[in-house]
Amino acid sequence: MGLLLAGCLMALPAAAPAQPAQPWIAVDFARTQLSGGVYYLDAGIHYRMSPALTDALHNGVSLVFEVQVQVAQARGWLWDAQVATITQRYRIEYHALSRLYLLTHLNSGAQQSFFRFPSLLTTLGELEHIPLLDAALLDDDASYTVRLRARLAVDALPLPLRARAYMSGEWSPVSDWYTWSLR
Amino acid sequence: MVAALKRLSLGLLPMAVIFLLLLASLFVMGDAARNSARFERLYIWLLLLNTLGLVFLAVLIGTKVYQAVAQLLRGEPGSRLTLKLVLLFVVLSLAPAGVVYYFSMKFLDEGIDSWFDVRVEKALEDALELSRSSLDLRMRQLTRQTESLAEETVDLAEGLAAFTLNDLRNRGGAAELTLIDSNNRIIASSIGDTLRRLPSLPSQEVFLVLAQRQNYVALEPVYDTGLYIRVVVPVRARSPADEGRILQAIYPVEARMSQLADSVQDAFSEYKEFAYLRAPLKQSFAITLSLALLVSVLGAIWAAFYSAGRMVAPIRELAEGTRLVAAGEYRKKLPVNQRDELGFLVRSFNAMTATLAATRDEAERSRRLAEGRRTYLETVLQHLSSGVVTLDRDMMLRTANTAASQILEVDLTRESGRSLGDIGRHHAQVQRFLDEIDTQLRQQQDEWQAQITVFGAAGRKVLMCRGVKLPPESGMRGGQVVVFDDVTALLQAQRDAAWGEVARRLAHEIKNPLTPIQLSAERLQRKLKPSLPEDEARVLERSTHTIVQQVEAMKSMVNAFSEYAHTPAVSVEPLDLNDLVREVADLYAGVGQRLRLHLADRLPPVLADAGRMRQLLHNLIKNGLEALEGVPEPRLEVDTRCVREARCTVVELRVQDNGRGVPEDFMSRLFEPYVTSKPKGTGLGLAIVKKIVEEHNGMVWAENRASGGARIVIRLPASVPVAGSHQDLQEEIA
Repeated sequence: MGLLLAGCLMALPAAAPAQPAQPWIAVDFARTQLSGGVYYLDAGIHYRMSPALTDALHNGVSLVFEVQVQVAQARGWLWDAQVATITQRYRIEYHALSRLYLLTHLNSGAQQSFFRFPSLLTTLGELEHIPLLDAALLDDDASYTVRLRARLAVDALPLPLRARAYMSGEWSPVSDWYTWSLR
Repeated sequence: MVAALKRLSLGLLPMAVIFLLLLASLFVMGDAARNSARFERLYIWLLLLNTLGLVFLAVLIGTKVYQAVAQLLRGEPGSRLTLKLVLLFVVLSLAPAGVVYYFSMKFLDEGIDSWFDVRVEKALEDALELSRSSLDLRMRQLTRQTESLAEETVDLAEGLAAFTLNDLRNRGGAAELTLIDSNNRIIASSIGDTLRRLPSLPSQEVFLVLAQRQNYVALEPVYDTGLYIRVVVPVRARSPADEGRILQAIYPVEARMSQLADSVQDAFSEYKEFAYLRAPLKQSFAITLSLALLVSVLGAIWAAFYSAGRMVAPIRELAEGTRLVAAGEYRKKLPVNQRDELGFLVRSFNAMTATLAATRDEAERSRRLAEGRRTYLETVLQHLSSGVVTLDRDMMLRTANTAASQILEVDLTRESGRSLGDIGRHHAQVQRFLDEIDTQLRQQQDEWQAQITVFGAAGRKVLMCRGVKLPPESGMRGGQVVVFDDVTALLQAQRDAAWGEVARRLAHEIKNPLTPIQLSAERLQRKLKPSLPEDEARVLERSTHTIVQQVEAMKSMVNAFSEYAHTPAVSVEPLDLNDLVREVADLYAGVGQRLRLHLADRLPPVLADAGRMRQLLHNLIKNGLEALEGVPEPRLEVDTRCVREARCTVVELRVQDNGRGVPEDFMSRLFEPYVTSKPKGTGLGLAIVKKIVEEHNGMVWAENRASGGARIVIRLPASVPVAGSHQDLQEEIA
């Protein structure tokens, strides 16, 4: 019986279509720099919008993308300790009246509008000088790693689409983790 | 695997809990599908949980189906009924559920579609377009106005820019006016909202538009409140240093206009989203509905199996119980779990088997009792010294005990089932027995008694027979049981005892007066003879002589008789009979060729009194010689031999002559006193022989030889059993 259930669980992800050769989201680069006792993050993320998501966007569905940044302390004899987790959430929507694409940084509430969608994606992919954490919180002797990834926030999708998002990569694009050393 | 599946057969309570959980999760899912914020995060997990629950139920039911089919194939009792009930339940539950499901899906599909109307959509699009048109007009006005404002900043020095912009902004009614140089640097800015310090910069793509010497104008929801019109125009340059300046003006849309446009935008956007989400929404509802149907149907099927199992269980138990009862097993008690009619049936069945078991036990006890009594009676009968035979109404032999076989000298146990007449054809003794009692048997008296005489190999036998009619309840109506005793020896003993008494009396009563009689007669002769005349004296002498002679004769007779009656103590010791025979035969050497001896070699010794045995031999030889008087070529033979009979070894002595033999009517009384066929003799010779033989626990009988003459046979037990030679061991009973 346990075998059977395990089989069913294994079959679920297998039913999802395979990832395309070129990922929908890819982290081009990411780095941190110390400035005034604060670590700042710069990153370049390349977003490609799947036809299904583009279609949904033009039909009034707003999409939320999030960039997850995790700082971990490497410990030789134990698993890494999470020091900080920062999530940047961005909402994109299509404004039919003005025929503009709106990009809202949900963390700050800042809003930008674009009449060309690729411009929005470019802006979305540029993270510049985002404060990450205070250097005083870190141990001088320890080594830290930072990893970053971007993805579509599936839980922000309307419910009827959420089931599809769990089943299909086209509906839930996610990048690989991009990892680098803090210093 | 099968055992693991069997363990899955859950009880009612766990299944009810599972079913309720699934229903609750379906309810939550239904709630989530209606876009409830409470549960929408759980939706996907509930979907997974339900799917797993359904898979579990399906496996469970598959197991049940497999078990039911396997039971049917094995022909187990109740399996067919179980399947029938399950099928019935499933059909009864599937049919209405299917109908409801079909119409629900239909209504769902049509219901959701009915929310959307082509005309509404068109109206919304038109409203949107109208809003755009009206706003476009305003935007063109503002563009022209901004262009004229830009014209006023052509020669504006950077130091005065802030004041000028402020003035221009107030004049133009803009919310924000910003002058930007070619390096995207803000030269000056004037913001109407005093709370905001930083201007809202245009995006990079706006600069690209301006780079093509075009104006940028767009309706933007710049701030959180309402709509704004952003106009960005290039500023004509007077000097190369001023090349690339741009002026951005942000105008607020009139509040009423903004509100209406927002409303149209929101309505259109929401309608568009709803229309777009129609298909996924329908799918979501369909999934929930299908899951609900599946949960209900699978639950119903499981319930069908459970109910059928509950209903059929007593029937299966009953069938199994009936099979056991048919096989003779009455101990099986069926469990009574129900209070309905089936429970009543099971209770009745239990009562019935209990009664059957008690009856069977009682019958078994009775049978054992009867068997015990029969064995007891048989043992008693087999060890009775009396012969017992039972005959049915057709005179067929039913049972006979060992004593009956011995007395009648035939193994009657083998003859069971044959009539006495049949047995009598091969066994003369039985025929004689039947002849004697036939009359009584045929008279069918309740009870009869008779003394009969039969002749067998061992001689004449006197049997005391008693017959009793068997009672009808014995199962042998009209049959009889005949009990008989061999009383030959008893009668003989009585006769011998009587003779012994007579002898003692004679010795006592007769011998005593004889001497006075003799003395008196002699005295008479002595006293009277001299005084009597000669002729009288002769008479006297003759008479007294006769008296004396007869008294002498009587004396010798009484002496002989008393000797017969006298029983001296016997002192036994091992004795070689051959030696004794030779010794006695030597005394008769005078008789010459008439006496012949045939003595066996290696004759075992007998335990006997030599004196008594000598007397016995004398009597026999004398008796034989007397019988041969007047016989031409007389011959008297004395044989000894060893005979092994049954489990005992005996020494046999035979004295046989070739005389006239013993008359048949004398034969039975030959050994009684005063039985003689000879003119002379006391008649006690053979009586004494018999007495001596019996004193030595031996056996004696007389028989007539087939070639003529008589034979006296004496058998004495040997003192030690010996294995004799073959010729000595031949058994011969003439």
